[in-house]
Amino acid sequence: MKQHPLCTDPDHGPTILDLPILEEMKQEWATLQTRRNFLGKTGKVLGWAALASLLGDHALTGDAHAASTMGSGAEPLKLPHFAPKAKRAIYLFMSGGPPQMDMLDYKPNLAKLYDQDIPDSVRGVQQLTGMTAGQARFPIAPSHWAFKRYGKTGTWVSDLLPYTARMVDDLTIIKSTNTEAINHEPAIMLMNTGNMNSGKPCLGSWLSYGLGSMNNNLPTFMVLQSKTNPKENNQPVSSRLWSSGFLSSEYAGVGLRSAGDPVLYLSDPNGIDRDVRRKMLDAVNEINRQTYEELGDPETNSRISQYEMAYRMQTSVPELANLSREPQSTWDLYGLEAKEPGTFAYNCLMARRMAERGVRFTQVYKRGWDVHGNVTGLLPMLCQETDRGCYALVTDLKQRGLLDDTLVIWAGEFGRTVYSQGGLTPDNYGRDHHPRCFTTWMTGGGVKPGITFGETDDYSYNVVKDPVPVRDFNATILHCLGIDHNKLTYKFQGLDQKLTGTTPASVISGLLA
Amino acid sequence: MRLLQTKPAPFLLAGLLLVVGALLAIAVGTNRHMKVGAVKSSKHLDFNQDVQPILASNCFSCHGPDPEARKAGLRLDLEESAFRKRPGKPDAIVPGHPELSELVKRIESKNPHHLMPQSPQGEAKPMKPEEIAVLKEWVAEGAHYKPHWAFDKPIRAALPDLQGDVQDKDWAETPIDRFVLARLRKEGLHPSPEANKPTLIRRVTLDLTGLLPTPDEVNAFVRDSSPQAYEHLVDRLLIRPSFGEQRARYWLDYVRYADTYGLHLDNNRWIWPYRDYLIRAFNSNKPFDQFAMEQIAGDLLPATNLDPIIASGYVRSGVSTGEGGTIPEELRVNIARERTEAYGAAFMGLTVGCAVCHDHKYDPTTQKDFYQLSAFFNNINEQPFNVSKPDWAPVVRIPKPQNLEAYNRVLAKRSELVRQLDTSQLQNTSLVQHWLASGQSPAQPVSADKLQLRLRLDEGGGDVLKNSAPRASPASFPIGKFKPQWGETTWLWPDLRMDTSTHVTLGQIGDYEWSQPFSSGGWFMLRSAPTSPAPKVSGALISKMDSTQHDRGWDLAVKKGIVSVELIDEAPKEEPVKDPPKKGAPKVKAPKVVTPRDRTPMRAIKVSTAAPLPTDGHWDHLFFTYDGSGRAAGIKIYVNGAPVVTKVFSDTLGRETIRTQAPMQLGSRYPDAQPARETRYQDLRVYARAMTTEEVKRLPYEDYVAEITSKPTGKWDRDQWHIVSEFYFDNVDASSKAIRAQIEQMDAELGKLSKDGNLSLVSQEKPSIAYADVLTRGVYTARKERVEADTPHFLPPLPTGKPHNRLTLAEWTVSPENPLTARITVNRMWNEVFGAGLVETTEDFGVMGQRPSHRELLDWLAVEFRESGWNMKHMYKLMVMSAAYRQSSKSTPEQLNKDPKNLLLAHGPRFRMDAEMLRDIALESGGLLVNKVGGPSVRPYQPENVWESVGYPTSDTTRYKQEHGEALYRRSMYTYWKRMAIQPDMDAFDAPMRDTVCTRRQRTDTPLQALVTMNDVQWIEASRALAQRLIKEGGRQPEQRIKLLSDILLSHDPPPQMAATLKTSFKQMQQHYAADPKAAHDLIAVGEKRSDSAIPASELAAWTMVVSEMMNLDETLTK
Repeated sequence: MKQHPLCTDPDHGPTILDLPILEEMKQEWATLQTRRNFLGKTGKVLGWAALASLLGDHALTGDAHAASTMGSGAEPLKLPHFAPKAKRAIYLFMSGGPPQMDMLDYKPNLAKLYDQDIPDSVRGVQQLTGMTAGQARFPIAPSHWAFKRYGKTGTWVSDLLPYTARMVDDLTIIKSTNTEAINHEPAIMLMNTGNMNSGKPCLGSWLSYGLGSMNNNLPTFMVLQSKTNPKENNQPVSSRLWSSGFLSSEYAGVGLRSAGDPVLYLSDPNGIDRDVRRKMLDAVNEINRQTYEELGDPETNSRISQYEMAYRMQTSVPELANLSREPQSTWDLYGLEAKEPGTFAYNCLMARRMAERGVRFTQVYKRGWDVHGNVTGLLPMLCQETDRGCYALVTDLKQRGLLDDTLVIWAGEFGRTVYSQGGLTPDNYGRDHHPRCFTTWMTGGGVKPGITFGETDDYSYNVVKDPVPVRDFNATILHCLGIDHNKLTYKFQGLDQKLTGTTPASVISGLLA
Repeated sequence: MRLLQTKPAPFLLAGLLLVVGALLAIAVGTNRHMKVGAVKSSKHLDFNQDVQPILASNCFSCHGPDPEARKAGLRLDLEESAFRKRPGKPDAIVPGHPELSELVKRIESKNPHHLMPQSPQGEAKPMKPEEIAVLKEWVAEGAHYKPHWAFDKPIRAALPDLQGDVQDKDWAETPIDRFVLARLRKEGLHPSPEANKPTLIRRVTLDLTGLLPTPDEVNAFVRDSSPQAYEHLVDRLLIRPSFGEQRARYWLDYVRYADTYGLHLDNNRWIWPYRDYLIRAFNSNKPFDQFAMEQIAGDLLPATNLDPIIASGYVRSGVSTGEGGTIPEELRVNIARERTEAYGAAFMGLTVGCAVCHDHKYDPTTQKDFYQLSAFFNNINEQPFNVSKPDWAPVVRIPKPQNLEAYNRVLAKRSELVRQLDTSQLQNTSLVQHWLASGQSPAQPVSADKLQLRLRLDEGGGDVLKNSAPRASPASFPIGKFKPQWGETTWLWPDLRMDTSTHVTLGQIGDYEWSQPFSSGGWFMLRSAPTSPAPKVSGALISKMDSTQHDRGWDLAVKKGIVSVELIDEAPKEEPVKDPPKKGAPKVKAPKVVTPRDRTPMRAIKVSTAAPLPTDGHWDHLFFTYDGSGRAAGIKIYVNGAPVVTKVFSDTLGRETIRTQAPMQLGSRYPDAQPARETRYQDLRVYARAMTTEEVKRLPYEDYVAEITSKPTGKWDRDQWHIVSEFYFDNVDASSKAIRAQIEQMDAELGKLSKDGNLSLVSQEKPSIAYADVLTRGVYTARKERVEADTPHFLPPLPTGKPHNRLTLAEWTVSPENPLTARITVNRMWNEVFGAGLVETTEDFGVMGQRPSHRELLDWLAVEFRESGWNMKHMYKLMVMSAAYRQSSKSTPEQLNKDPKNLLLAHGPRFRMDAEMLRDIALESGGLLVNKVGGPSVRPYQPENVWESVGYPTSDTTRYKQEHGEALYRRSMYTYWKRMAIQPDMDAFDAPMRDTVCTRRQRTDTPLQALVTMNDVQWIEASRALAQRLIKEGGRQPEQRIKLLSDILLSHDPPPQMAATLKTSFKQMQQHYAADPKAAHDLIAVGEKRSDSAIPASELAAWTMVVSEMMNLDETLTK
């Protein structure tokens, strides 16, 4: 245990000064220590209670260099490597694979090719999923929806996305994202962790490890699940997507839930009020401190600070989730749906509130994009559920001056085929998984607004210009947050493991502001 | 000068050593995360301990075992290559001459372009000065290499001589302590005195049973002043059923046990009987060698009861999927890989998975080693996808208790027969040779008369298929631009599968008239792909049919397992098959190619098998003969050489023509149709004559055997030997045939006896040879080289003359020559008990793993383990009997400073308990715990919306259905383990997802944990139950109750300060709840167990809070 310069008692090993807390708190503690000595024995109790309230006062510091508040394991690295454009990120994950050619990747020529087989030259030799591999034909299904041009940039956007259309000048649209995985589980793992197999840390965990916390009473990395619509094909997500892999589990995402406790086990049980809880904690802390004095195990000290953090979270998380003070303008922007916990709009609003409160990384999952059939029935629902929330979040961040240092990312795990899965009629079609190209967007800190990057062929089947593989996509995200993806490493199994994996990855400079 | 450097003068050496010694103190400390200064007194550096870690972490990624990553042709992990001359390049290492060694120059270079090491991006990452000093000294000493320590067989070291250690001489009681003390002495540290008896009994009871000692047990132990008191206690604990539960609980992490498949639907599966097997094994103290063998290959061991078979579920306990889009071959490769990594982690202590894509960068594990190892797990008789069912075959049914005895009797007899069969087959070379030499012509080829097409499909690659019929015309068939998939499975030889759009057009072969007798068929593996529900393949396997002529022609087709032969002049009008419309799915448009079939009657013969083929995904030989009679009766269908019962669907062909110009197709009906999905082919034939029954019988095997036996045995390869011996034992050897018949009978009997019993996933070996393909960069389609199952080249070889299968691997795993198994196993035991392994990286004994803190102790324990007959209880007892274990856990600043992780054990182990133990002791303390061993997993309390928020709607684990009563209070190891959303309270305390092997859990300390123990209904209910107990049993005074509380949870009386704090707190709580009766009622109503109404609510509530405080103490949560 390192000797802290403020440590007043070198013979007694580690003290509160070695805890991962803010420097100024340590200063105050040192002062308290002096007072404690002055006050004598009873002062110790007061001291701990005072420390607790003291820690509580630093709720909203937003200091990028604050130490981890989430545990005692491996210290975060306290990066960045260079001055970041973005301090935090919000990742809107469209699980299932949105059909790019129905939303943002406009292909006007397809209409003429209705029901024609996709040329072999385009399809090439490719392993298909088990679902369409046996299909007799691969008939082209042009998008059912009209596209119009929007904004100063004149970006083509489908009628399905009237709200997204309003903010195209702020977006960095990437049409050339591509992946190596063709089924959900490996593809979603690849997007989130840079590897198709489980066991690797996800983007949020890398950020937590690399950058540490910006606040003292909320987790660094939070995950929100949006309500599923039973009509949609809701591919599962699992905790391995927000797992810390081989990094310490304190860097795993913490779920903010829409039903029950917003954070698991957060609420005091029936019959325990805040006063009882405080008294209970004071007693626990007091005895734990005795234990520390008796046995000298630094873990005991760490436990004390974690209990205090838990206590603070019991206040700060409900405060986070309490929307009663949101002004009418919020509801005008997000829509009334945002009042209902768990809707995508609600989660977008939460993401903004977390950004304000110094949560480093927020990931919002919206499932249901796996439109193997009935695209004309399902896609309008999916877009209606998400379009306004995305717009509201970006606009809200912008209005509050937060967009400059917040990176917002919108992506699924792959795209969908231009040919129809199952039967094709003038009114309806299905689309299978398509890894070779899909459309994503980013906005905010670090990326160039109002551009469209990369191009696909006339069938939205192959990338023809500026491909962005998943590893480059992730390298670029890290770059915006001030991290060199080659340097954010962790030695595991002898290798310097990193989010972008072993195949060389590059930051896509064309995306950067 | 030269002389001086090779043999330095004594005074120079002394000076040098001083410097190096001082530097080493830092270097070694850094390496082990230990601030222990190892003052070197010996003359030479130890390569393994001092040098290799520096080389490994700085150099091996570019100059190590992986040839693809190697730079400048320099390899530093092996002595011979490190000293090898590289043309035009300076010598990397000149032993004895640091100044001439390029290695030294590079690590000290001032030129950033020359400076080593460098990152893959070419950035210099200079070594630490102390590391440079060590390498220079090592080169100066002669750059002596030694093999990696963990790959050398452990040798029992002599116990350290501790004479002269006056201060601690009485401390060391057991051999373990001698080693521990010797090491402490080296670092200038001293051990701690023995912990007091209450601490000791709590510690050892928790370690051995996962539960707390009762206050009575504590008292009895404290009162027992006999010198054997502690040992007697240990002996009592070792025979408790909870011992087996506690050990099995750790083992479940080592074998990635869970109750769901872990991917996609994450559906339920049945494998909990394997968990119960583990408990039985630990409790009966099954020798570890047998224990390991049963898990790796229990299905191949002789069994007198079901345990070895259930144990073989180990292999299959990893993740798998049934996702509809799954590509079976990719999944098959992934599953074999997963099992190999799991075996590597749990039984070798190596990160073999690093060699999936390339040779390991640090360890000598080559990519080929990896795939050879994976081949052992690549030969299980299963479909790669689980079809989302809980009974992913192979499974075993466990007979009901009343049938158990009879079952075991039959099983024992069966095992004996299998043993006889194996024994005779092991001598197959001599038996087969005897048979060959006997002069009775061993196998007759089937006459090739009028054989017009024979596609052996043994090309194994490329896009031209050879027609190997005599005087074949045409002699080959080019495939279009869509290539087939070659070699995914091996049957006779690596097979062919037609990918989407692949077409094999066979021209005008098979253009027969109705009056022409002909025969056709081959080997097929029908559709191996998941969908739910799984429809069997539908489509033509061989066809010469004209869609524009009302399907005129003939084909061999299969539909939902029914095999049909059609001879058609004009097809019968069939209703187009419609799938029932899916909800929300688009209407299915009629297929584009439609033949108007409005004319009746039609003229055709259609004959089908009466019963479907039993399963998809297996190789079957399907064949038919037609006698040219124009009648349905003239068609015979054979499955695996035997004629089968058929049904006639149409017999109206008469003398109408079946000739057509449409080209013959393999795997599809028409030239423009898609090939049958996921169907594999081998040796297709068309004869222009009606084969006899006798001939068809010989086609599936005898024909190949004849082909092989016509060549001298010396020229046979492994596959050919295999085919011949299979044939010999199936068809020639009378005794084998008889035994097989008996075995079949017994299988039927076993089936009857175990009807309706519980299922468990098990392993079952295929009869074929265990192969795997080395895959370029691990990509499942990029097959590079086919390899047979084998162990890594740097470890002892498999015994000669044994088949390379899982059984031999299992035997090898626990053979005395294996340097790893005993070491990694005792190390994990040590980790369980002491909180950190002697090798901290329990999962990695490779080059990058930590070096052992006590190498000689580890090896001593490993040898002791093996020589004790792999006696697990003996090893646990040795560890907990040691003075090192029994020390007080109080630490001094000096100890903390020198050895913060307590790896040297200057004080006793002290660490936060695992998730399961914490919940168990909470339940136990209040008397809630239900002590029932084994059974199906249970679903206790869980916060709402944990499963629901992540699951797939049609999964059978989407909704968490909490149980009631007993199920709420079972030990945590019985809690249902859903991989995609594990029990959140256990998740908070670092329980792993069990997607992969975990041999040591993280031990974090987070606010989320505090929220669990403060707020989870389970903890509040347990607190209230214990509060009730205090009120009833603890006496009337708060002091008395607090004493009992402390006695129960901490096993000792509360120190005065603690008692005072709790009493003050109790008073506050009492006041609070007296003033707020509603809050009191609310609090004591938490949980499903009713509270005792005889106790006033405010009193019970106040005590519940005091207990909760106690349960949240660092000391309570800590072992």
